[in-house]
Amino acid sequence: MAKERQIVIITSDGDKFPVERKVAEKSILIKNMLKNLLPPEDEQEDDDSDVDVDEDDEPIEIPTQNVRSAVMKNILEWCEHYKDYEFPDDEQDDDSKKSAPIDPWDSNFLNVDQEMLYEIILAANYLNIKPLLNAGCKVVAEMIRGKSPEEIRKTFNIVNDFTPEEEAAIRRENEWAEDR
Amino acid sequence: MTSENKIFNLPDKILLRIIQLLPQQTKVNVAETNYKLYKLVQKSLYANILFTERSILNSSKNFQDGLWTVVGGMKNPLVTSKSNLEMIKMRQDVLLQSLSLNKELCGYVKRVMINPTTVIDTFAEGLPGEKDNEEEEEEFLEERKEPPRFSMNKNLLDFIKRNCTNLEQIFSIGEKPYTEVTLSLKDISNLPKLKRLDIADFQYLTHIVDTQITHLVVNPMVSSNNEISISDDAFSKAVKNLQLLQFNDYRTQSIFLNHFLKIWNPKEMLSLKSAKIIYYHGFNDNDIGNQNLVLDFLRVLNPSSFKNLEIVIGCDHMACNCLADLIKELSKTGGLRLRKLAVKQLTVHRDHNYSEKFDYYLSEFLIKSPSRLSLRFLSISYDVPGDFNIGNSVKGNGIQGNFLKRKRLFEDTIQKVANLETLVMPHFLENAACYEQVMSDLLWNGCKCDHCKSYLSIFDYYVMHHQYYDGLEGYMTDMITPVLFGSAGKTLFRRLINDLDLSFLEYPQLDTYWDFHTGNGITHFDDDTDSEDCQFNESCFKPLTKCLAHFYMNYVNTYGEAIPSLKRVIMNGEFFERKLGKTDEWICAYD
Repeated sequence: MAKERQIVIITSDGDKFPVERKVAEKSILIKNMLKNLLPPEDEQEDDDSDVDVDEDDEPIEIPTQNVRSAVMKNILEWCEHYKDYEFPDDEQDDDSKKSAPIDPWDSNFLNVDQEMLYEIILAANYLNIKPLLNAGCKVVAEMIRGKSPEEIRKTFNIVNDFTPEEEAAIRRENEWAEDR
Repeated sequence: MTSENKIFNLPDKILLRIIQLLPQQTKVNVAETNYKLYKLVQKSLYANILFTERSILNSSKNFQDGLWTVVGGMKNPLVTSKSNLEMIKMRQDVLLQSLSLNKELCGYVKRVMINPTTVIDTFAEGLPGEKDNEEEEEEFLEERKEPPRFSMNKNLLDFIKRNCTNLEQIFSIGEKPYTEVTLSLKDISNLPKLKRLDIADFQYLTHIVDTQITHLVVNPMVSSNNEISISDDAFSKAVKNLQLLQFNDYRTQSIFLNHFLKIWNPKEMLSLKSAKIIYYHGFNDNDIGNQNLVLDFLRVLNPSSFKNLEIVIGCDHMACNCLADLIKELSKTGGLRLRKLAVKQLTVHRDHNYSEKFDYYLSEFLIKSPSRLSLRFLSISYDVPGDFNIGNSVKGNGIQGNFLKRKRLFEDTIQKVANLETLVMPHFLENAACYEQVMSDLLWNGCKCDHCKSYLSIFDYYVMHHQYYDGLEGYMTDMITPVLFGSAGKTLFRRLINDLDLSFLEYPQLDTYWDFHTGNGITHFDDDTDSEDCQFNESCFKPLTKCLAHFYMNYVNTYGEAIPSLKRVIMNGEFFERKLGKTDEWICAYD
């Protein structure tokens, strides 16, 4: 049986993270890269071809220019947690997935400061890890849900760039959708 | 960048994704914070619009209420129908004004649905002569003569059809769909992105040729001309492009399938993804032929593309075995591997034995079918008599033992569907209400929490002080628990938007209330002063639903233990979500 080649993810600040293949493959971006570089995992186990042993021992380095080390550490922790879970890849279930509550583990995992939360979301988007991206969006949505405009501005340090007239016009425009 | 506006580091695509998860009032609030967010909110707020007379049911435990924007009534359950309808009219007028003033908004509208309530019979409570003054009495009599009904602003509908050119769907659902929504040929040609077409006349089939339409809904025909006049080539080409074919009427389905199967090459596979079909054996001899059409149709479906099936099944002959043919077809090796399945019982009988027959075949299918391990979503809907009376004691078989027998069969079967994630039982309570002992047990020996202890005794008082019309016996008689809980179940079911049972999760839930006096001729006793003092109204409904959620919880826990992959259970309109944590527990989204 051939030995599994090591995968090393390199962050934007040069840190190296050696990871198992199934952990790395939670990222569809990395999975697609590996598809071109390595045979599929199940074939790899049975592979007894005469591949050059030295070359086989070389770790595969995957640079991730948009993700810094502290964020990657979190991303890999999430991937490690879900490494044995198969996320269904079915577009038709989008609405039900969208409306499902956040998994409590994800909720706890994403209980970080706002800056880190946004960086995790951006990294999940860049690395194409849809379930983590969804969970991150849900955490932000929960931070907004039920808040008044003023409370939302305060929570996210948003500058009000409307004139009072514009604000009134927007209120009138969406009045039909107000809960009463 | 300064520490402010860090959220704006996220690209618009992700911000929009977050906004889409928000309930509509929060979306409105976000729009008022900042121009960039305003622009993004409008894209989401105007995308899916649902017109109804009810209000949305919010929950902080899931994100169901963010899926559509509801243009509906007021949240207060005690508001009169007249005021509610005035509010709906006002909302529609304002929406029309907003769309007319800011044409950019029209481009955001993608899906429009109208969901009028089927029956409005609570519009004018009480009896003539009960009102305090002449003016009120006059108004009351006027309402009784002509009840106020939900209606759409026709100008708004026309405006949407003409100007919202990105529209993918515009349709009405319910037993009495709103016909003004029907699209003309001109409308269809104005809507190049239209994906769904609902037809009630076969002449409209010509409209699906050379269009983007992928979802065809065939409703009962309004025209007496039932001929499909479209050319064979055009018809098969149009059907070939479909992804979802939905039959809402048995007779029309037969005409459609008969024509389709005549022209379709049986060696060619039809690449549908989803379908709703009806397989029913009633008292008409033609039904057998129609059932064969369904079997032939199933045979031409491509198993690699076909994943979602909604099927209405029933056989009203006790000794007949026709359902076995269906099970055999659906279970054959190399056949369909379904991901979503919705099964609806159809019967004219009010008899436990027919329900048991339905259960038996459903169980056979779930155990034998190759879909057993591929199913992620399962909805089972029972056909229950409106008075929840299948005969009690010596007169019938609505006895507890029969309920327990069905319960055991269900529990044994459901654990075989090992990878199920969502289980929906839209008529669970009405079905259980047919067994009086089960309902009386709920009222008298139910949950012992503080809430249930306080409220169940109040509902016991309700039962003691009301009567109802027993249709089987033909007289007014003392109120019984099946009518109380069955009526509550019926009302709770209406929280779900009932387009396709397969798509319950694609819509938000609507708030519904029962006034404790509607249905089955419920009144107070003649010689009772209760009619004047009765305090039971819509405001008592929410406490009742909480008692029911506690009743459901036992079942939900059982299903959860049997199927570890189960994440969501929906009983009538109550949502239960599994919280996977240190302790694996279920929470009710609306409790």
